[in-house]
Amino acid sequence: MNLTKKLAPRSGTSERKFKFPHSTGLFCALLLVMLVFSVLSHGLFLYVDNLLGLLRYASSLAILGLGLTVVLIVGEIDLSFGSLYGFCTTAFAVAFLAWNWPMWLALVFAYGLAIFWGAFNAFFTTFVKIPSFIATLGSSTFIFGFTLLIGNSNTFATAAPPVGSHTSKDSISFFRGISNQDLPAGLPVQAIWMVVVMVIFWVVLSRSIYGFRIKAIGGNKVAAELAKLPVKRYKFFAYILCAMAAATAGILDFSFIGTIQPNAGQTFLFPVFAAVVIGGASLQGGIGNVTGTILGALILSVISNGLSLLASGAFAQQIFLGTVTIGAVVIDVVLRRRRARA
Amino acid sequence: MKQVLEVRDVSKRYGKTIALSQLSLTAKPGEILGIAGPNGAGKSTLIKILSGDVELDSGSITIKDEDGSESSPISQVAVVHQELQIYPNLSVIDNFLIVRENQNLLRPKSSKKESDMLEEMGLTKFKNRILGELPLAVAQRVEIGRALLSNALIFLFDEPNSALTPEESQDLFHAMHHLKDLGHIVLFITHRLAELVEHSDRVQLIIDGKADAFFEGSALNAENIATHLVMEESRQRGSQQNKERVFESNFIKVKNWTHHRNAFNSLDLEIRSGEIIAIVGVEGSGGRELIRSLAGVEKAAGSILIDNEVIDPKNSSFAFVSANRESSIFANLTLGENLVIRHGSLISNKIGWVSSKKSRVLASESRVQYSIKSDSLELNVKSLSGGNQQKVAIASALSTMPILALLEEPTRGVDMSSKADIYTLLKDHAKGKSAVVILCTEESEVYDVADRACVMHLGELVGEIDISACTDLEDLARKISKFTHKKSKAAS
Repeated sequence: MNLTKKLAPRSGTSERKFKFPHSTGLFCALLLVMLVFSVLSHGLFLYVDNLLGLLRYASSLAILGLGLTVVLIVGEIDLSFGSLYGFCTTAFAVAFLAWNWPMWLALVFAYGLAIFWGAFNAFFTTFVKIPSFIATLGSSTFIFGFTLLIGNSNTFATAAPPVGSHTSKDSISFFRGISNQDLPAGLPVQAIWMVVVMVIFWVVLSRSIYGFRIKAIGGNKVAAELAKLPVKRYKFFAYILCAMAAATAGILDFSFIGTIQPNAGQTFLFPVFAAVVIGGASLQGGIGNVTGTILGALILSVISNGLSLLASGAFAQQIFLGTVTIGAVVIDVVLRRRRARA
Repeated sequence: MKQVLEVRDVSKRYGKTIALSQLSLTAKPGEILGIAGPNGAGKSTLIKILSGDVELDSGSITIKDEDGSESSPISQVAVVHQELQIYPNLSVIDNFLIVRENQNLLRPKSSKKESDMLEEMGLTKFKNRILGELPLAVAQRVEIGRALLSNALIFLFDEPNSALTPEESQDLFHAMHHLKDLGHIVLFITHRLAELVEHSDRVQLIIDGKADAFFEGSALNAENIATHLVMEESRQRGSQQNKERVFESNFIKVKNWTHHRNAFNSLDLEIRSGEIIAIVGVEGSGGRELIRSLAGVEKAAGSILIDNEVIDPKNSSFAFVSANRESSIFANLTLGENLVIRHGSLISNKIGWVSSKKSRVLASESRVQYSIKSDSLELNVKSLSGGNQQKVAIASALSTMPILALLEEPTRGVDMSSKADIYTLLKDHAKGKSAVVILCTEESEVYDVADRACVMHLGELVGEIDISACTDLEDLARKISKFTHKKSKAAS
């Protein structure tokens, strides 16, 4: 995306077709939905506590969504990030609380497993050549099974470590502090982590050769293979990045909430997809960017939070998610068609 | 059928680009109207408008009946080109049946109407074969038959035979004349002047979106048309540069090269540095497989030696450009990005950080060096004309300075002036310690650009021709057919 801008010559911009910047449109949409819910909820929406909770939810969506964005750009799909969220976090909790490993080692363990599962997904889509939709749908269930196995189907809580645990109180409170402490002005630390992850992904997607090339691979896989770009290697890279993002989101949430259930993460599947597609990533590959996904995550959290404030009931959330997901894909398809004609 | 197709003052613009400007033409039933013009002249836009894929900005397209009544032709237009609109997963007969308007819920059974059409199109023996497994030439006839069954009136042949063998082309032209005899309106669009002249009754040139010169009767000959299309100029440029070329032996040796699906067996080839080799061979001769396996994008066993050192083509710096532009261009990237996509270390540092300045400089250098006509590097690559897109594809490969560049039909579907540019680019590349191998289906291309022709036939390298020893194009054509004939006789 940014390479595009930089490649533009200084002069001769008269030839440029007028393009409505996608992120500006999303930003306006964000302000609009915020305004709508502020009015409808008679100001309830604007309570600081509400906004902070919303921001925390948006952070989880955004971190997961950034991983998914990379996989979508390379032209594949990942349905297993929800399971990976639960698996990596449970693995961390088991190592940290039940096996009494030092925190850093437990983190290395969790991220190592994330890399393993990312490579696992990539192996089946690139070498075995199973459509990634099926491969990751399968691995999602598979990984969830392993989550139940390693955690013995238990829910882990930092406040009540499993019997026999002698993890020190200090290291537990240090872990909780990663994401559950108040910064000045009451900002959740998790939002800071979101910014860190965002910067990392921005660098990867907009400033690195990986980001440039995965865009080409997702845009035209055959051409990329004929140009001898390392297609398989970049797909491994994308899946691993996605799995690591899922681990990050899960561990940060665990640090904040203090509990991890084996099925945590499963409910993220649709909101994250919706956020990423709203953010402009194309399910056909080759298109997607960090700002779009972040704004998509914010918009989705605002609407979902707003709907619950209006006490519309669980049905409204589900109907909303379905509508938004299909609606966003329809827009994607229409835009693509228009681009193809022009 | 006495309806006449009238295109009146049709204009179409995309943003600031004018694709068609007040274009008018008339096509009569029972004749073949040839249409020619450089790339970007608006031919493809005209086809898209006629077939209803694109709406026109102003003007009108009508079918006029004998009694003077007018109607829209859109539903009666059938386009025959390389990208087929039929169902590859169905059998030939099912492709026919699918267009029938169903009366009930039962699966339609083929009637005499369909089997007559199979006979008419010479498809009877393919009746139950799955279409996707059949050659393109057969599929095109299925498309024609299907269009006839659905009462199409107007047939647009858009570069229909650029991927066909000469024999298949003859069959296709036969079908085209058959349509003409049936009284249909036939439009024939091609870059190949000889075929255009041979098969058209009248020829309309389109240049810059306008109807340009018009040829019929005795004025309808290749020279007249070529003059209008600056072909003469490009040919002269081509032959001048044929001289002063230096080759060095002992550069690249291919030994015992065997394709993994046996398209060819234990083949030996020597590539001298500084030369352009044309692999000449129709589809099925093994030529395409040879060039792809040398590039390392298809599997083959045997050895390739550069300066007596064995290398693996897969990991080499050999660059490949496919004949199909769909698989050589990244449509979601800009022109500038397409130009630098194959460069890794040149635009990024060790940890993969891309320098936008380096890529910008590299892209604009490429744009100039490979004479790509565009004002901005930021344009979507698909907005360029076909000829320029092809130059982009070639530039992205050649700019990585491969010691061996392998290109399939580098000027397929490209206008005359881009063709000349591409030949110059290839000749510039084949200098010093690098060589170029191209796959050719047109003899004139071999004559214009290659130093040596290697003739492939039925999976064997049947002969080599030194182009500088050929007196003219006919001489080359004679030599090529001599090799393929000798081989065919020996086989039978």
